Amino acid sequence: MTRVKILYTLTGMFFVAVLFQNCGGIAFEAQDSASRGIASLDLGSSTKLDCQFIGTQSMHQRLATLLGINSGDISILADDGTQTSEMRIEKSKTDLGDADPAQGLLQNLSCGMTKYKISAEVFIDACTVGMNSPSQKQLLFPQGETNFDLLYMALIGRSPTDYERGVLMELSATLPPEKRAMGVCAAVASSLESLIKI
Amino acid sequence: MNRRSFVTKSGLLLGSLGLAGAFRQDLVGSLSETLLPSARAEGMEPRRVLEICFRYGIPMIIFGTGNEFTKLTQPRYSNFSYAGNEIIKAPGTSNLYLNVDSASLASHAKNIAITQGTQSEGPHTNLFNYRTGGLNKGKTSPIIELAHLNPTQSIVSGVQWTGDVSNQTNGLQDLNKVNASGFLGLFKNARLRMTKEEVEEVLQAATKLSRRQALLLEDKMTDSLAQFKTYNKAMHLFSTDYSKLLDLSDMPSTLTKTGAYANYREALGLTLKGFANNLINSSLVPIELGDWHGYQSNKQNSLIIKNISEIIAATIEQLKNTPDPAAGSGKTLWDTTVIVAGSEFSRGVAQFSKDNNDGGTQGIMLIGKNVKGNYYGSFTLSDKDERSDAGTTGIDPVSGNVMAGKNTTEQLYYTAKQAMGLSLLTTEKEKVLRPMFG
Repeated sequence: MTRVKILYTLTGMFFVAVLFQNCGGIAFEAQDSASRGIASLDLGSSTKLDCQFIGTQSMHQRLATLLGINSGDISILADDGTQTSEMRIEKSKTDLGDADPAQGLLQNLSCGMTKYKISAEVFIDACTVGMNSPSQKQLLFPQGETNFDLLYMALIGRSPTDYERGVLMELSATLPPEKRAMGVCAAVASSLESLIKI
Repeated sequence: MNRRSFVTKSGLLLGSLGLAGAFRQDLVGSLSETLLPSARAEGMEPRRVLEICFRYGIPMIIFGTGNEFTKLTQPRYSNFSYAGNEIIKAPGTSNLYLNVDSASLASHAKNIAITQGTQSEGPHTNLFNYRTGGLNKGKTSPIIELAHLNPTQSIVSGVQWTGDVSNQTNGLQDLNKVNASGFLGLFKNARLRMTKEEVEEVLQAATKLSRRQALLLEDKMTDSLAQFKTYNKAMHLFSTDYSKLLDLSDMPSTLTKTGAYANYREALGLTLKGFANNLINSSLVPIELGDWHGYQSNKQNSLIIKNISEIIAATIEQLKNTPDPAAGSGKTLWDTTVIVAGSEFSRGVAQFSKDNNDGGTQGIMLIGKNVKGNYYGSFTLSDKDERSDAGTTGIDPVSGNVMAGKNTTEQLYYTAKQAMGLSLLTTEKEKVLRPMFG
C-alpha cells in the first residue's frame, strides 16, 4: 500500500463520514459509490476484480436521487429536438445488461462499448435537465461550481485528484456559465470509474 | 511508414524519455491515428471472422458428410437421415456429400470443410470447449485474439450477438455484446440536450478523467487499461453517425429480419454490413436450434437444415460480392473473412428410435477462400447396425488419412486459430488439421 493510496483511503473515509452527516438526500448513493470506490480499498487484499457495469438500477437511482429526475429515466429526443414518449434507460435496458426472461436473456453486467455509449447519452441528457434546477445544483455543488468534491464523492466514491480537478476546470472554462454544472456533471457521471462497480 | 512501425519507434523514443507505459501507449496510439489515418496499424493483411456457435447438441454432419452414408439403403441415422439417393456429391470435393436440404451450399462446397470426428469431452454440454483449447485448458478464444489484433482497424473490433456463449479472454477485451438495437445504437448519433460542440467538450473531459481513473484502478481491476481503450472508442462513436450504413434494404431477404430464425438472419445481415463498412472486424453469432435429442423425426431435421443452409449460403454469396474496404482494390470480404461454425457439443450418430446420446462426437465446419472443401473423417455405419451410436473417426492431422480414433478438441482449437490466420508456435502448428486448408 503506497502513501498515495493510504491518503486516498483516509480522504475518502472522511468525505463519506461528512456525506452521511450532512447530505441525507444522497446518502444511499454515497453508500453505493463508497462500496466500490478507492475509498473502500481493502487494505489486506491484492485480488484483482473483473470489470462490472453499474447496471440500470443504479442508473435509475442516480437520476432520481442525485439529479432530481423523479421518474429515474430521461426521455429520448426525436431528431427535431422534441421529446418522445420513449425513455433512454428503459428502451436500452437489455443493452445495459438487464435480464429479459421473455428472450431468454440473463442479466449481463460485463463492461463494454455499448454500455459506455448509452450511459454517456443518458447522463449527458440527465445532467442537462438535473443541473437546470438550482436546488439540484446546490446539492451537488454546495461550495460552488468549481468545487467538484461532493459530485465526485457521490458518483465515484472518492475526491478528485489534482489532475482531475484540472480537467474539470478546463472543461468549465470552455462552457458558458449556465452550462458549467451540466457539463461537469455529465463528464464525471459518464467517466469510466463512475460506470463500473469495483 | 505504417502505424505499427510508427507506434514502435515513437514508443521507444518516449520510453527513453521516461514517459510511463500507459500514457506512452495512449499518446502514441492517438498520434498514429491522427497522423496516419489510412495506414493499416499492424502492417498485417486484413482478416475477419464470422463465428457461428450452434447451441446444444447439433452436429455438423447435418450439412454434409462422407461417402459412408451413400452405402445405406434407407435413412437409418437421425443426425444424417438421408439414404443414398438423397445424397449429393459436392462439386469440387473428393468426399463431401450434401443432402437435399443442404444442397444450397453446393456451389460453395469446394471451400467448406466439415468434420464430426472429434472426441466430445464431458457427458453433456461442454460449452464449446474447442474454443478454449479443450476441457479446462482455459486458452484464449481465437475470436478474442483476432478481435484484439483487429487487423482491419475497424471502429469496433468485435461484437457478439445475443445468446449464451462465453469467451475465454485471459485479460483481453471481450467482444461487445449486442442485439440488433444495441448494434445500431452503437453507430447512431442520438439527439441530445446539449449542442454537438458541448457534447464534444464533455466527452473529451470524460475521456481524460477515464484515462486517469483506469491508471488508478490498475491494481484493482484485471483489465482497467483495456477497459479504457474500449471506453475511448465508445466516446469516438459520438463524432460520426454510421448507422445509415447499416440499412439492410439492399440485402437478400435471407439476411433480413424475416421468416424462420429472423433474429439470426438479421444478425448475419448486420454483421456483413458492419464488415462491408469496416465498422466491425469480428462477429460471433450464437444460434440456438433446439435440443437435437428432440428432433429424431427427419421432417423437423429437414426444416432446420434447409433454413440454416440457405442462410449460410446467402452469407457466403454476400462475402463473395462485397468489397472489403480494408483490403486492396479488387479484394472482397471473401478474401479476408473465414467462417468458423461449431457446436456446443454434438449428439452421437444413432439410428432412428435409438437415443443419439449426449456427447458422442464433436465437430466443426470451416468456410473460407483458403479452406479445402471436404468431409474429414469416417463413420462406422451399417444397414443392420443396432447400436445407439454408430461412431465416428477423425483424420491424421498431417496426411489427412482416416485414423482409427477421434481427433481432439485441442486440435480443433488450433485449427480454428489457423483458419483465422493467428500466429502459432511450431508445436501448436503440429496440432492443426492441415488437410483442411488449401
